[in-house]
Amino acid sequence: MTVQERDPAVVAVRPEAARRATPTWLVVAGRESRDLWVGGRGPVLLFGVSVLLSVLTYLLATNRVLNYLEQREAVSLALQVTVAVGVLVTIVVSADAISGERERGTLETLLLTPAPRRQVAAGKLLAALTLWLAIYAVSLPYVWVLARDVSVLGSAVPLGLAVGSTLAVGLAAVGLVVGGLAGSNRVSLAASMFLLLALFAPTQLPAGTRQGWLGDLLLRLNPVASGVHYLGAVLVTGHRWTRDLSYLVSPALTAVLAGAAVLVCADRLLRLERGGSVG
Amino acid sequence: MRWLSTAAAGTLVVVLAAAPLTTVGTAPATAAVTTVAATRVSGATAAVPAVAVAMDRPAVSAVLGDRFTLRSTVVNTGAAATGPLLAHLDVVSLHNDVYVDAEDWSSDRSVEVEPLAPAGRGTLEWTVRAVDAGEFDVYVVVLPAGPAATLSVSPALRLAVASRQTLDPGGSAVLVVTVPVLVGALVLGGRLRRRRRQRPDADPAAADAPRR
Repeated sequence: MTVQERDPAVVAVRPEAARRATPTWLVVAGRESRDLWVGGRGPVLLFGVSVLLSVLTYLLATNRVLNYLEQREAVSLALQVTVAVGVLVTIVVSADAISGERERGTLETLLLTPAPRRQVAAGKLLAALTLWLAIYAVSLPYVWVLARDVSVLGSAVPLGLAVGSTLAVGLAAVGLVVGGLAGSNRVSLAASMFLLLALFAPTQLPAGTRQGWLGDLLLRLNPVASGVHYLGAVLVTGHRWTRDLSYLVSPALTAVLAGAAVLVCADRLLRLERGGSVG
Repeated sequence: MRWLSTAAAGTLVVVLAAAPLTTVGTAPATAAVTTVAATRVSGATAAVPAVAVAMDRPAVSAVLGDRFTLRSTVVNTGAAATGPLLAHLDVVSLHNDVYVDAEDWSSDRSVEVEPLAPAGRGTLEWTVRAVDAGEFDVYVVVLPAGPAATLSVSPALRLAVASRQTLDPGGSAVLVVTVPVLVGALVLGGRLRRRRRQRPDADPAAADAPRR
């Protein structure tokens, strides 16, 4: 958000009726989204994701080694990459939303407005999620190309959206918490990236390592691994979408708990300096 | 691996026989040499295989990416009951230019077989996926637990895998170029428009102001 847009005078002269009509969180979300998409990193990140998905789709379609994959597996792989990259950029953007603005000096003007911190945090969370939704929208043509000859397109699109959105909400909220608590933007981004990579690493382990009660427990505790596992179980193995719903408990819990943490601790997270108290 | 270490504690025959397990998926020549060595040593010790292994068919034709199920039958041809057995599936390429990683072909290639009574038999099912085109031999080897027993190897099943393209590269090529170009055009268009707005002479009213 620019300094001019956060000028308290601007808020003060706004008609009372208009303020009543538009909730603060929606105003914040709109302005944060505008900053992200107009002149921000959103379009560039989206372009990068589209190039990545293009390379992946072309390899899946033409590479001899990858080409043996059944189309269901190709669809699942494309969705998994979309979820992984979408969640990655979402958590980075949300982590930057507090610590980055703090370092750039634009957080102070926002905190000077009478907007409740909780609603500011909710607005920032929503703005970060627009990036995930845009990335998912860009991935749809690729999923369509990979799934057009098999019957998984109808289930792949809503399932990918549901699982990816749940993960994006949870991890974007985690990113906000990390960004609010970190001492610097660099620490915030590094911690968020490390957390995400640590969550994704188990998805790359051989299937055998996930056997046994401990492996299954770790799989279910990890929101990313369990979400990806659910997608594979439905799209590749052919399970009904209701059969493995228990694997979505972890992503849903992460979204609820981290989202609640952001709202409850908004006053603590949104401050000018880590450990300080402003406003 | 626990089973292998038990076997390694036995005779030289067992040590040599276990070697193919450690070289699974390597070039066919290696497997063949190891098998010959094991046969020679087992012949020297005059141990007669007490178990026979047979495949359910001599050949399979498949298309790249196909999954199919093979069955092998293990029969105790000896006069005494066998101990616990371990059956292992292996895939070797008949052409040097095709690399085989057997784990890609079948995820569960080692199966424990319950002890078999004399003339008893057990049937094993193997799910195999054709992950590469070419000609391959698939065989099952049964490794007994006892120190004096020998390996039993099934006849090789000849597997011919035809190549295919599962996706249309032409159709995907259009998409993989179009989407980034469109997104890139939107990004560039947005930046150019914003830059024009930021230029003071971009606004006609502002440009005319000094003249007035």
